[in-house]
Amino acid sequence: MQLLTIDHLAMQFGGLVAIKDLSMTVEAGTIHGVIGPNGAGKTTLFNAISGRHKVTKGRIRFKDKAINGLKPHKIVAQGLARTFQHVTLFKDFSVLKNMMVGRHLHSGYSYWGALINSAGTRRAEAENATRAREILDFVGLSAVADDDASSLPHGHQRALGIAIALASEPQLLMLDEPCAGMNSDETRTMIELIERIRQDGTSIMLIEHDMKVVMHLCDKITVLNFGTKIAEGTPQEILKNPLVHEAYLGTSANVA
Amino acid sequence: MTRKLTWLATSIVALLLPVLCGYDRFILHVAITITFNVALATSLWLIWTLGFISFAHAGFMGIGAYASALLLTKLGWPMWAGMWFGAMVAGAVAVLISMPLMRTRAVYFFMASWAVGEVIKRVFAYYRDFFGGWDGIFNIAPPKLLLFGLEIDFASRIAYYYLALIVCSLIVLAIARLNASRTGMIYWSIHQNETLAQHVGIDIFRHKVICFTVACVFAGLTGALYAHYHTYINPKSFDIWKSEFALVHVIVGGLSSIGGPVIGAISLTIVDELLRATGYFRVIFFGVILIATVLLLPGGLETIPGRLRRLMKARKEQGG
Amino acid sequence: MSLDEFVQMSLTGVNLGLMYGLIAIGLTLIFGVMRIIQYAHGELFMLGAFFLYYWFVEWGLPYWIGVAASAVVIFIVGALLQVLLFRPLQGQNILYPLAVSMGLIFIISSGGLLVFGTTVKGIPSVVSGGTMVLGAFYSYERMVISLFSAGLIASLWFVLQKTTIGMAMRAVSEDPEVSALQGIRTQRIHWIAFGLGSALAAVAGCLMGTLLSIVPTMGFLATIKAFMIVIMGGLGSVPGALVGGLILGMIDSFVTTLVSADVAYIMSFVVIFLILVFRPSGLFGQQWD
Repeated sequence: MQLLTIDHLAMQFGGLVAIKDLSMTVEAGTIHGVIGPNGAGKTTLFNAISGRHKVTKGRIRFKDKAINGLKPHKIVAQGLARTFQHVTLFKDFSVLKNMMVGRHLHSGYSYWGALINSAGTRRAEAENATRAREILDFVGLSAVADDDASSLPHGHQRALGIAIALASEPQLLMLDEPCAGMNSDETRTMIELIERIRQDGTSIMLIEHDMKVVMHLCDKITVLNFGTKIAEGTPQEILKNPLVHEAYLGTSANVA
Repeated sequence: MTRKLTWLATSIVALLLPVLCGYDRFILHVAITITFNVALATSLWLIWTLGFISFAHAGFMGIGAYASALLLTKLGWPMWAGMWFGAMVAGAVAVLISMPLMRTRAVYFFMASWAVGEVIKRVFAYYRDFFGGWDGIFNIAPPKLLLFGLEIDFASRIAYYYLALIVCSLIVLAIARLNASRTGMIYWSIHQNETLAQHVGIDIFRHKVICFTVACVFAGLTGALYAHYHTYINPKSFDIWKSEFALVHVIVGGLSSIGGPVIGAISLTIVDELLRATGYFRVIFFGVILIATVLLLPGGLETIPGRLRRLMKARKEQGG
Repeated sequence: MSLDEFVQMSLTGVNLGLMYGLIAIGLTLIFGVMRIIQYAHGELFMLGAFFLYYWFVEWGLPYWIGVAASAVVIFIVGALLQVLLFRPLQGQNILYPLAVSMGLIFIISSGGLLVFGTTVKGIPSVVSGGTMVLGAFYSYERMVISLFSAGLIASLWFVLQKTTIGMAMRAVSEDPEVSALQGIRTQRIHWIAFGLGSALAAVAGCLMGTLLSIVPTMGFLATIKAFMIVIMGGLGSVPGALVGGLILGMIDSFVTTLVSADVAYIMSFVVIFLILVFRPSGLFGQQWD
C-alpha cells in the first residue's frame, strides 16, 4: 500500500530552487532511503512533507489524504513524525518530560481538564507516563529517564529525538541523518534500533550519508541531486547506477 | 517544603495585615498597590513562559480600567459588572491583536507589543469626548456591597484591601495552576523549541493566542480594580513605564517559577515606596537594582534560598 | 498643496530623514553585530546633545570641534558600557541585555535630570541665512546639516565596504562563529561597533540640538524613532535604516504639517505594525530566529 505519495513537488525559496520536480512514493512496511550529495534537497523534502515549509508546487498525500498546505501539528496528528538534522530537544526538561510532551496527541488534552486536574486528565497522564517509559526502554534510554536532556551525550540525544517522534505513535517515521556524528559502535546500535522500529510496524523514511547504513537497512532508495530524482531502486540497483556514481564523484562515499 | 512554608507565611501575613499594621492607611495603600503589581507581574510572567516579552501590558490594564470606569460614569453600572466587563473587553482586544502579533518573531514581538501599548494610550488621549482625553476620567466611585444584611462600603481602605487581595490571589492561583498543568508544559516547550513543539502535534498558534489573551484579561481585571480604587485615571497611568516596571518585577524576582514575579513585585513595590521621597534617586536606584540583578544574581531573587543552601553546604563540608 | 509647500515639506523630510538615519544606523549596527536590543540607544543621543551644549554654549568652544569631540566621548562611553555591562551577557537570551539597557535608561535619564537640571536648553544655530528653492525657503543651516549627515553616512558606508574593520563588522554580523574561526577578534569588534553606533547617535543629537529643545528625557523619543526605523528597514540592515529613516522623516514632515503631530505619531506606529505583519523581517531584513 502506498503510504506517502509525492506528486511533482517543487520547493523554491526566493530565487533559490531547492527541489525542481520530484515524484516518489513510500510503501507501507518499508524502510525507504533518500540519499544524495549535500544540497541535493533531502532535508528540504522532509521540511515539505512535515509542513515546516510551504510547498511551492505539487501535492503530497499521506494515507491517501492531501497534507501539503497543512500546519505541522495537523500533519503529525495524521500519523507522520520526524526527527531533525541537528539535535532538537527541549533542553531544559528531563528526558521523561521530553517524552511527556511528545505524548501530547495521546493526552486527551483540554484546557479546562488540565486546569482543574480532572480525574480523566490524571488518568491520561499516568497512562502516558507508563507509555513514555516503555518507549524509552525500547530505544534504550530507561536508565537516563530522569536526567536533564541537555546532560546526555550526543548519541543518547539523537536516540531521545527518535523516542520523542515515536511518542506520537506514527505510521511513518522520517529520520534525518540519525547516524550523523556517530562512531561505528553507536552506528551499529542505531541500525539495530531502526530495525526494531520497522519490526514494530512503523514505516521509515531515512536520510543518511553513511552508505553502510543505507545499504544495510533500506528496501528502496531514492537518489536526489540538485533538487531532482536521478535514480531510484533497490540498494543493489543503486550501487550499479552510473549516474549515482557521477553524482558522488569527488565526495568520499563510504560504500561497503 | 520551604516553598510551601513561604507561601503559607506570606498568605497569613497578607490576611492579617490590617491588624498587624494597626489599620495604618498608608501601609494599606502600599499593600493594595502591591496586590495590583503582583497581579500585573504574574500575568506578564505567564506570557514569558511562552517565551514572549510583552510591552503592551499596561495598555490592557488601561482598557480594563477605562471600560469599567466608563460603565460606571456613563451608564451607572457598579464595579461588580464593570470589572468583568473590563476584563472581557481587554480579552477581546487581546484576541484581535494577538492574531497578527503572534506571527512576528520574538524580537519583533516586543516592538510590536510596544506599538500596541502606545496606540492604546494615544487612543484614550485622542478621543476627548468619550475617554476624557489627557484629563482622564474622574469620580470613579468604589462600590458598596450588601452581604448578610451588612453593607460594606469599599471606599474603606480595609475593605478594598481585602477585595484586591482576593482578586489578586485568584489570579495568582489560576496562573500557578495553569503553569503546573500540561498547559504550562506546553507553554514552556513552545518557549524552548517551537519547531519541535509543532512536530509533536501542538497547535502553537492557538496556544499563543490563548496565553496572551488570558494574561491580558488578568491585566484588564487589575486595571478595573485600579480605577475604582484611585477614583481617577488618565492615559498617563497606563504608559510604557508601567509595563516596564512590571517587567523589572519579573526579572528581579525570577523567571523560572511563579514565586519570582510575586516576590519581585512585593519587594520592589516596598523599596519604591521607601525611596519615594528621594526624587530622581528612586529611578536611578531601580536601574541599578535591575542591572545588578541581571549581572550578579542571574535568575533573580527566587534563587537566593537555593544559593544560601549551597553556601551552607559548602561551608559545612569545609568546616567538617 | 502648492509647489513651494510640497518642496518645503520634502526638504524638511529629507533633513529629518537623514538625521533619523544616523540614529537608526547606529542602532542597527549594534543589533547586527551583537544581536542585542540596545533600548538605551536614545540616551546616548541625549548625552551627545548635552555634551555639545556644554561645550559650545556654556564653555564657548568651537561648534564643529564640539561635534567631533562629542562623537569621540560618546564612542568611549559606548565602548565602556559594552565591555562592562553587555559583554558578560553576550549570547544569552535577549531578555537580559534588554533588561540591562532598560536599567541604563533609568539611570542615565534620571541621572541627567539630576545633573543637568530640568530647564529646557537649546543650541543656537551657527549658520545663518538661506536660499530659495522652487519658491520654498531653505536655510543654509539645514543644508549644512543635511550635507554633513549624508557625508557621514557615506563615509560609514565606505568604512563598512572597504576597510578591514568594516568588513570584519559585517562578517561578525553575518556569522559570528565563522568569523571567529577566521581569526576575527569578535570581542574587539563588539565594543568598536557599540562605540561607533553610540557615536552616530551622539552626532545626531548634536545636529538635532539646534532644532529641538534639549532635555534629559529627550532620549526615549529618539529610541522609539530609531527602533521604528530599524524594524521597518530590517534589523541589522544599514541601507534599511537609511531608507526607513527617510520614509519616517517624510511621514513626520508631511503629516505633521498637513494634519497634526499626534496623528503623525499614531500613523508611524500603524505603518510599522502593518509592515511587520506583512513582512515580519522588515523591508530589507533577513529571516533570523
